[in-house]
Amino acid sequence: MIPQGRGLDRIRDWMAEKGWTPFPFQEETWEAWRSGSDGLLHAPTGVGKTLAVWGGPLSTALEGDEPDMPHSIRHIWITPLRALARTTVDQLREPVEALGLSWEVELRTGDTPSSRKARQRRRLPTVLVTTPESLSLLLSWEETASQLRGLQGVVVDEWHELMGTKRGVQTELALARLRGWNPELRSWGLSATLKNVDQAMEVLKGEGAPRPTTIVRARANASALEFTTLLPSSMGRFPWGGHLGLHLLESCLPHLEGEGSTLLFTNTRSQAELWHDAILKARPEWAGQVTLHHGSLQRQLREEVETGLQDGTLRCVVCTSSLDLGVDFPAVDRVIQVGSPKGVGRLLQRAGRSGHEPDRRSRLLGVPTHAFEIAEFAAARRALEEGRIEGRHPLERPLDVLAQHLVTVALGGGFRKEELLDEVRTSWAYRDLTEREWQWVLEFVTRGGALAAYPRYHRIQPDEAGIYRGTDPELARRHRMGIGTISSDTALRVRFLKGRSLGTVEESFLGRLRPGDTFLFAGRRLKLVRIREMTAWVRLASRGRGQVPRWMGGRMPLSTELSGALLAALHRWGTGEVDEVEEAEREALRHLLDIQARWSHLPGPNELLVERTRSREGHHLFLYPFLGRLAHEGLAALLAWRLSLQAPRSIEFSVNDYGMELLSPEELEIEDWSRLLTPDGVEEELLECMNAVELARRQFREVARIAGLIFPGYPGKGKSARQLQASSGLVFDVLLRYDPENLLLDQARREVLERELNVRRMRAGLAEISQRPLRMQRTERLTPLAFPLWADRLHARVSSEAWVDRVRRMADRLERAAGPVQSEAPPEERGDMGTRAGAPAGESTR
Amino acid sequence: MKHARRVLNWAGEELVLLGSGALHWPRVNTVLVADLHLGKEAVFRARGLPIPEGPGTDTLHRLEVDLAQTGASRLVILGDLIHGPEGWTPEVRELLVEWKRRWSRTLGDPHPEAILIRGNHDRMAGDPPSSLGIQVREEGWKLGPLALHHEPVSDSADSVLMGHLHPVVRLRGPGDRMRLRCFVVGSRRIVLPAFGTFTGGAPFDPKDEDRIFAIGEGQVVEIPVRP
Repeated sequence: MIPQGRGLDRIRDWMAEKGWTPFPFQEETWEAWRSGSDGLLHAPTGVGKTLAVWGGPLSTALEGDEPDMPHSIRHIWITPLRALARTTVDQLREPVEALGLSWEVELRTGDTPSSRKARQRRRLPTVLVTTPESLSLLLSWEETASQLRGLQGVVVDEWHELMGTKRGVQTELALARLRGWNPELRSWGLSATLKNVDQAMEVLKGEGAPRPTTIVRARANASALEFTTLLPSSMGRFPWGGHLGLHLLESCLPHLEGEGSTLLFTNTRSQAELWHDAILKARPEWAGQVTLHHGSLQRQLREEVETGLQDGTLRCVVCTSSLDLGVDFPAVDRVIQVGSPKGVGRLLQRAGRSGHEPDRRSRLLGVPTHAFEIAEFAAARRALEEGRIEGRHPLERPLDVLAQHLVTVALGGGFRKEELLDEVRTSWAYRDLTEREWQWVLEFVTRGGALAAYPRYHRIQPDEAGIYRGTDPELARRHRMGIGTISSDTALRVRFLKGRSLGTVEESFLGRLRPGDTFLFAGRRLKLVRIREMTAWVRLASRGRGQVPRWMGGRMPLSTELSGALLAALHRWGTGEVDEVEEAEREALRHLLDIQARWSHLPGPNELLVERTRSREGHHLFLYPFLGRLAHEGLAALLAWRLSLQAPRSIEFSVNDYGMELLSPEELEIEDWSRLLTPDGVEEELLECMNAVELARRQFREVARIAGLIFPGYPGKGKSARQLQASSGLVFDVLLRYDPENLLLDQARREVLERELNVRRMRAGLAEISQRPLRMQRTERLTPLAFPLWADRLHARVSSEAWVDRVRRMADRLERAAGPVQSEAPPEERGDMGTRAGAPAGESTR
Repeated sequence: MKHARRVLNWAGEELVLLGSGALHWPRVNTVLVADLHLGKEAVFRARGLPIPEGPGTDTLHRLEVDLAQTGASRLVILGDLIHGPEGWTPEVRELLVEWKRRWSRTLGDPHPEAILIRGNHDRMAGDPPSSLGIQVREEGWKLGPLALHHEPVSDSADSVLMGHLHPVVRLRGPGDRMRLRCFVVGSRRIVLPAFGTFTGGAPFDPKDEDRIFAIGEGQVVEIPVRP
């Protein structure tokens, strides 16, 4: 059905002028918006999502059936990344101007100059593009409340990214507040492909008064994706991590040589820096055509790249997840993914960066950095065809975010406690907020906690009328500064002595460097001059190898969906059930799979492979549950702990995305596997065995910052700020001892279980694998599945150069033991025991 | 090797490093501590950061134990007794009065000698009320042959005991990291660790001649300084 309306006709005419035809999902979204519905538009990257949710508001404005408020805000557009906001402004402005509407579309993020922010506080633009933090900040000003009452719609871009994070919860709370002012407010979310779309809708619309909702699904066209994997001419049969894939650079270069532009995605920022550096070394003549884009770079540098993408002047952009998100730019010609795709949805989103326009095919090249990644790419392709995409789990009532919100609302005009409780409970995250939790948070922000322990403390206070308000302008100022830091780690600005700022690098890296050391950042070789006042001053280095900053959080686990698909692919290839597409890939991996099958067994989806082997190091027990690294980390600790309960012994372990290794001096006798693998009591046992206090102390850093327990400190704030410096670890210790009932401590523990250890997945994984039949293999040597685990464990113990040498030696030895690659017959020589010769216990260079 | 105390012969004097972070100088019957930062909790609370009462009590309790065990009749605080202006709360005054009374009773001396070298935080917080009987001295006050300082001094002719830097040493092992408060012992100066329970630390970059003595769990452990 084609929705009717004069406004829509004008939009269609304008589109026709540009040579566009509305997609069915755009028509559908326009109609849903016009009917007053909330909604979620679920579509792969790009492809006209913006205009789909924007058309409805534009059309009603064109029809003039709006209250006559020429200078009031009508729409807010929330985007998770500051870097995206500017592009969004341009995209929203284009039709506004073309259609002759007198709307002002403006930006408000942490990067917005304070003079403009002050002006916006007095009078908001018709359309505001902002981030969750900046919106929350806006709610902390008394003058904004009255302005926002006329708001008609909120669009949350990249909702799949936000949901499942505290910024998502911050958004939920802001939406609850906005709806409190205007129950007719329409909320729309934009989401990339996601499994739990219905839940994403529920979370977005909240638990308030029932409103109509519409989920629009733009058809993802899997067949429009041309997905190949770069198959190296030869690949070791004993894969190990730690490769950056640079050995495949030569084979990649031809793909960059042709016409058109390429996005080359890596999984970490450090890998991006290295690839960028290596490409330019191999092709110096491409200087200026090959650039770098990642989230730590200064806005200006990123924008130069984004502009280059708009103009189509770049040959290749080496980037990370910073370009996953919706910066909308014309489709590039191809996308290269270096290293494990990690997740199905993520790969789809990246692939969607090429061939945006209707009927232009997306072209994706997978570059495996080690042999198993060939199978990961194949598994991802199969999962894509079958539509098995990951979901995101929304967070349940984080009290730190609530504490921050209470102060924000108190500053922004104040609140009555009963009213605010009702409002907060209309957000999905706090729908089940208990009376006790509410009371505690209210107490926390008014009196600090248990009264006796916090004399003369007030952050906010009820006045005679029972309205909670801020008490002190200085506190208010600091609270506002704190809102923006919800998710950032302590980062130092990197800046040239002669002015220009390049971006930020985490303190944990820069703190290890000494003046004079060189490092790679922002595609440049930099020499550290000094660190002062939260800034690392640098100059260009003429030469030197240069370390590469390692940013936190680079090691993403393989998703459940992809792990499952991988296990299935390995099994399929082992049994020879391959289709045409997979034939070449299987061929590339055949020798590895052969060795795995010959020396042990190639696991299938319905069994749990266990390998035991002996070496000079001791007795190795390998398990391959294929649950992803995070879950394996907790699981390995849990199994080691359970085993040591049976008989005291020391067990070392290492984990990766496929499985885990437990190493002990004596053979681990396991009589009752089902008891060992039982999911019962997982949470309690984990907290007991994982040095939970230390983990919680680390997790507390984020909690403390959000809840306003620590003051992050700002450059150039002088003595009074320094007097308020205390590390979150110190505050954690003090609270643990003097206010152990503080619920934020509980929250830190809970977050450790949920985020650090992924206990949800572990529990489900245990329940599932404890049902799988065990396939027990005794092996003479490390198998291809076992080898990377062994190498990783070694890595934790020795310095990296010695490590590379030793791992290479070991891999050579295993290759020799495996015999020539052509050979189908089992090798005869048994003398050279790889593990026994290669890994003497306790050898360490530290 | 772990010890609950560590005896040094330094600048011709016998000095004892205690596991609490205090330094005992038997010849002059004196205990020295640095950086108590009492009232820091209150300063934080006054500026909107909810830190509970308690660490200050712990700090003075540990000090009381050291004084009792050494039998010292003189205490020198090498600066930063109080964290900031809002730190002089009635609770903190009361704690100090009680602590002084108990020290005096244990010692059997109605007027044990307490001396504060005025530190940068003390300058902001203000001197202790005279009723407490804590004498305030400027940087470089001499006790025997040693000059007592809060902040570093570049050109002292004397051997120096000082605080201010809150030195900590970072230890890193396989899968394990620790930060421990420490004494830094050089040929011409000793830096004491911060004694206050609610104080942080800053990693210290030792010079070649420096020896590092970490403290933790009441023990003193010498940490080899990497060449």
